[in-house]
Amino acid sequence: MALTPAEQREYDSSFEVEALPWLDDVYRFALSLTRNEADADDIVQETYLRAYRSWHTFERGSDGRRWLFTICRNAFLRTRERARHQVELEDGDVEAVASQVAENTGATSGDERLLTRLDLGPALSEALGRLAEPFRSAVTLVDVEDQSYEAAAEILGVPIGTVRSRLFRGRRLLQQMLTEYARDAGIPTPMTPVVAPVATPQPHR
Amino acid sequence: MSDLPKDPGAAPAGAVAVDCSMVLQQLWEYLDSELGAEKMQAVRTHLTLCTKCYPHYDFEKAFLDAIGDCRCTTCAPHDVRCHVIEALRRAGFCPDERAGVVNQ
Repeated sequence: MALTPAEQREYDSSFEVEALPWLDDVYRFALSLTRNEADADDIVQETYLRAYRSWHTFERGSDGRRWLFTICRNAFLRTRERARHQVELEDGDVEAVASQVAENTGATSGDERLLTRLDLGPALSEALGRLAEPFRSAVTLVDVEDQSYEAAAEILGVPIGTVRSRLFRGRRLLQQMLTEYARDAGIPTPMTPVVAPVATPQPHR
Repeated sequence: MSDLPKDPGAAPAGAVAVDCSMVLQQLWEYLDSELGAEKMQAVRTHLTLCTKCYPHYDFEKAFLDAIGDCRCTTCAPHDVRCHVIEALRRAGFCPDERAGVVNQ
């Protein structure tokens, strides 16, 4: 049914105010899925077009960012299905990859100061970019986009337990990559600190 | 048998009991605020008292904060923003110029 001019103005206005402000967030998520700026550009356009056409189905007052992330994820899956050249790891393979990751990273090696000696911004961005799916989207949604496990599960279309498992393994993989990054950068291994301990708040004794 | 708790962060009577191993296992869920209220409180209390677990908490918190900071470093390029607005306009979207959201 066609909207009256006044209804159309209201439709566009609410979309502009409630959906467009999340463009940076949707772009970041799209980029984390595609790992390619041109593809992310396409996915973001597709996401917003679909969101605009379905705006009447959006429940006002609900989480617009979560809704857009879901559309974005679906747009990505459709694109990938069409392209059929990108192979995603299945959970069985994921287990194999994860089992190769050393559990003993920074904290468990006894050096929480490792993080303070790394220039974390570039190192983490690069590590996130290298992180394989399906870990990357779980880490991006929960750790970068601050989504709850429940929201991430809904967006990714998987059970909460799967989100938790992917998230934790993704984090361990990231920590492993950061440890390697530190070694490559010539930063001494965690067991041989060369700088004074950084003051951190201590627990009450 | 001594009445003293074996674990420095042991819970008082009636509270949810957690030991170091459980705290370390659930540290990420605690940092994500994904544990139930009672467990959140139990882990919080344990971390306040336990000098063994606290450095782990400190490290993992710094790690997760650092990942969260990635949010501030990536924004949609201007071109992407323009492409989205153009595509929406072609679909009939007519932005309210006064609202200024489109031009942000």
